[in-house]
Amino acid sequence: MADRIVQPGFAGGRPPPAAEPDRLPRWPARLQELCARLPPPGICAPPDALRGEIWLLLHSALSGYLHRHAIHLGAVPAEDLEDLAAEKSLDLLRRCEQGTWSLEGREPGEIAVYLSRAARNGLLDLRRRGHRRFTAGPTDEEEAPWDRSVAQNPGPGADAPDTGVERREFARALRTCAERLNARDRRIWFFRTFYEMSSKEIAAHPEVGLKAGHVDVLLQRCRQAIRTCLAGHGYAPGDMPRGVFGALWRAFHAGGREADGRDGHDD
Amino acid sequence: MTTDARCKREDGVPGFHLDEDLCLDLLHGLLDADARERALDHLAACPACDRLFQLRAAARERLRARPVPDAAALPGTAAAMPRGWRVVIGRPVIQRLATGLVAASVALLLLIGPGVRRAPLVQPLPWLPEIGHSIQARSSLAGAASVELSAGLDAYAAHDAGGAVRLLRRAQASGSLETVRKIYLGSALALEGRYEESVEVLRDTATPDLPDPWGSEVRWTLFVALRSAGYTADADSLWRVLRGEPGEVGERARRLAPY
Repeated sequence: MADRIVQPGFAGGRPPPAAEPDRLPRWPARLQELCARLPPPGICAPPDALRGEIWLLLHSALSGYLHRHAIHLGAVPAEDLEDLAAEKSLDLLRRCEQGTWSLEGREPGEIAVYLSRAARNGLLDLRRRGHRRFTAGPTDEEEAPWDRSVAQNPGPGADAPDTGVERREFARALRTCAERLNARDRRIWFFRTFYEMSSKEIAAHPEVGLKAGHVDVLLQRCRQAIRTCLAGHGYAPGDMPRGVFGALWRAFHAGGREADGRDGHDD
Repeated sequence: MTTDARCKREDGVPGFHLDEDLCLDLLHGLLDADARERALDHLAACPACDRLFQLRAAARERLRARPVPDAAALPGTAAAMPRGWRVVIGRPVIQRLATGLVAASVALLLLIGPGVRRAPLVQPLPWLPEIGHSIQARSSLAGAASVELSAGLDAYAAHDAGGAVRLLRRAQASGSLETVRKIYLGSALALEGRYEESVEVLRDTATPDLPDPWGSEVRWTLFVALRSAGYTADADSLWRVLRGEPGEVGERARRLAPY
């Protein structure tokens, strides 16, 4: 099987995105706040939830920078980017816990630059090691998400009126159908449909906590329910256009409704 | 975000493409309501950004489905990863063999030398023992004012520190039930990493007349909170007391090197 190569980010189709001038990312300040809550080394281990949140934030930020730098440094297999993000984030988490990397008194911009450099250096090390799959330029084995989307939505606008209307209508129907599922089943269906998570991953997710076999059974039931409901709206699941994810995420995740499991449906 | 004329909302207001930072802020709930709505409005009009956001959201949830790597494990990062991580997969054979040898050696040590195993020096801050039915019963007798106290204790028993903090902060109690409320609130705050607040709650509550095992564990929690909040002299003073205590907490304090 060919390696999945990602030329990530926004390469090719348009210039790399510059941050909105008056907007600074918020995550560095959050990372700073979380790291300040770590107990001093040697006294007691930090709470799992705290470690988890720091690690998640570090990993996500590093992944973003790795994707961004990979645009300039050459195509990198997706799994190598993941490995690098995992290595660097664990290293930084450990250094935070040991008190050898302190964020105290740092500006959020400094933190972002530090992580960006860590990501870039990681990529350069990978290249220096003569990684067998590190290629010099873009590959066409897999297009960047943005490029691929643009390729499939050609034209001067990213959102031609007809597809925009179609997408909104479909998203509305799908949301209505998904709302009929109870919170747990909807989460499971969402994880599979939009995140392509395996049954094992879904089962292990902290908001699910079931056996993989049970997840399979529930998924089967959810798919059937969604299929039947969508048919009532004149759609089939295969009709799903690109670009409905945000609408569903907004309905079920933004504001933490889904996360706290208190959205009024019985489990 | 970056402006791009190709990606306009249908009402004519230019949208901003999402970049990695904005995706991260949005996913982690760090945007204020207006900024969140603007970003989500943009997603509704821009399939490319919607796809990027979907990929980042998927990566985040996949990560959440994995156990947090144990940073106290072997110094080599790969060895510290949870089982099944692909970090080891795809590495040169010699490296994988070496990893296998290390794992086999550790397994052998565990098999033949259980006496050599020692408890890790640094343990997580323990949860206090459950309060027991008698106090819960007293709580329920105290009337409507204690509903939140009971719910807070239930949240604590379910190891939901955040929920326990919210409920125990709101709970009304008096007398010995107020002491109960404070020790569980102080513990939950420390378990949330809110050490300064924990010190505030526990400083006058962690007295020597609290019965064990609560008394010693509450004093340990106060020590951790004091130390973590930077009250080094107070922490040192309490540590000296704890070192002289019998039982698990005294043992824990004695294992700590002077700092």
